[in-house]
Amino acid sequence: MAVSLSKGGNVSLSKEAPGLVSVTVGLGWDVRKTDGAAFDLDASAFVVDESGKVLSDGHFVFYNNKTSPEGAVVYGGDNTTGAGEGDDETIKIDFSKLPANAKKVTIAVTIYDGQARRQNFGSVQNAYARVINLADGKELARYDLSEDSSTNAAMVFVELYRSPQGDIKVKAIGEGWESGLAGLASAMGVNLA
Amino acid sequence: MQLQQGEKRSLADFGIGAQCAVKVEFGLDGADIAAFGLNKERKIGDDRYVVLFSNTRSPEGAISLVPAAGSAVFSLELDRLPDTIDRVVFTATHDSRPIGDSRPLAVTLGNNAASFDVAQYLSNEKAVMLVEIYRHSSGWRVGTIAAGFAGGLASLISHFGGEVADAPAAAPASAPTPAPAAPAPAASAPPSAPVSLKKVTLEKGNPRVSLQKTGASFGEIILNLNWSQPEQKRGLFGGGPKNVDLDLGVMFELQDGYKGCIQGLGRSFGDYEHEPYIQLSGDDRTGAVSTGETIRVNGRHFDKIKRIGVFALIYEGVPNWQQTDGVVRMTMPGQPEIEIRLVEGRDNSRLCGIALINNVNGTLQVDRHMQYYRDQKQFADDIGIILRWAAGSKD
Repeated sequence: MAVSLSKGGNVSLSKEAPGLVSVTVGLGWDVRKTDGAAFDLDASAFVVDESGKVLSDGHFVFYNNKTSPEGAVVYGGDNTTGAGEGDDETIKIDFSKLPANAKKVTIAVTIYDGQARRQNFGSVQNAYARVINLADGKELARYDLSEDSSTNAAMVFVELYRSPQGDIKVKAIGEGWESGLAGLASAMGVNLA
Repeated sequence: MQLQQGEKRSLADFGIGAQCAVKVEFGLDGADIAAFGLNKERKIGDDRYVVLFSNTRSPEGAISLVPAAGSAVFSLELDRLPDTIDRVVFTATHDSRPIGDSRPLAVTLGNNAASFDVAQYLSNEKAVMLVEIYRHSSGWRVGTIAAGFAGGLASLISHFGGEVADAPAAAPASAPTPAPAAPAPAASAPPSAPVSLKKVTLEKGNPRVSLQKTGASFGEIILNLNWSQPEQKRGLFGGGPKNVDLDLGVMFELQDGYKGCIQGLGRSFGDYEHEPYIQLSGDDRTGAVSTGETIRVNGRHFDKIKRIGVFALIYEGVPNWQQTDGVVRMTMPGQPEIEIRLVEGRDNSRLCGIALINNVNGTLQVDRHMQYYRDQKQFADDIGIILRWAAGSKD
């Protein structure tokens, strides 16, 4: 049974899955059924150093930059074959490939054009993000985005990192951002065009 | 405190317990305010929990309405609601005008503990979900919605898994207590029956499913088309019968190059045991048959099938997909049921291309298609099954 994350909590994924090397972060939500602009949720990842800034602009992995330079973080894009499980977006992280100065990988979820469309997490039904063991597809942790930070269109979902003992851990952040993906990326030290 | 759209809060945050008053203030003549008690699937499980001017009290009285000019006040006793009621959604609808025209349009909880100004978020919706009060592991919560449907009440009811006739104006004229319309003894499943956990619904954001054989073959693959019939009308909002008749058909292409069309029209019923291993089970839709139209595909010979395009056709009367609430279900042994609803892009074309079934190296792949066409030929051309159309009418 996957751990259900709540804000501020952390869990050792390596305890759930000994020998864990690679995970998939999957994001899913329900198609909008009422009239109006569709909900388009995007997952993105920031590989950051000690100071909390990205190692390089290439370590901001999202829909326009699908792989970090060394290939440790890969954006899976729209998953159109996610029948049953139904993840709509995925990000894969291979911890064995992460550079030594990578302190953690921060995963954010944003609603594309959310401010202009006046959309926020509270309007999206059954939005979740989950962490899956890439080796066997087993779900390790899950976070329900719909109830927390419901009036924001961007939120930092979780951080994944290695503990001093070498365990892969995940911490639920659940911090909403008013300023969307651009503001979030700037705060993470990405040079935006 | 003023709530924003999409905000979700615990009722306890506002000092509200199990007794909760929800007041909807509006300023639009003819606007109807209702409370829909919904099940876990967010569907109407029991009509008696739809509380509105013609039904002002749920059976045990946990939801009751006092209507007045310019406002509707609901009294909730949340701890008395049955477990089957997972949430209560408050709505405003109007027959002809956008609800956003209403000034004010505001919802107030408790003794002014929280309020939500709805109108600013609306555009042309004639049916709007205002707020919802729902069960959560942390207790009852309130969520603001302010979203709905330009299609009005019918779209809203359909969203909640119910059915409504197309003439809402007729509703107030009918008896306040709906007479159950001659329930067929066998038909135990209302439209909002609990869905099987194994069901896969193909939607816009989730348009494809691939199935592997579970045994030596796929077994009998059943394609069923059903749509709402006058006999199944819910009494709640009344209305007259519809005259919608849909035909289910398929275009097929076999691995050996054999192509064709199976449909009731022209009596091209196909063959189950021999090529094309696809058969239509008659076309005797009289309104008495509640199961709709069925096409069977012989899964033992799936290897010989290259692909199948599934379509529905309205061949009599004016095409009005809006009224059909059509749904195609595909079932086969040992596999999840696959469902595709005819829910979007409806227009006045006669033919709706619903799904494409492809044999991808032995895997059965179903793609939601949902596009509308003038006729069979246009559909066939679009999906690349080129037929000599003179052959379509042979017996």
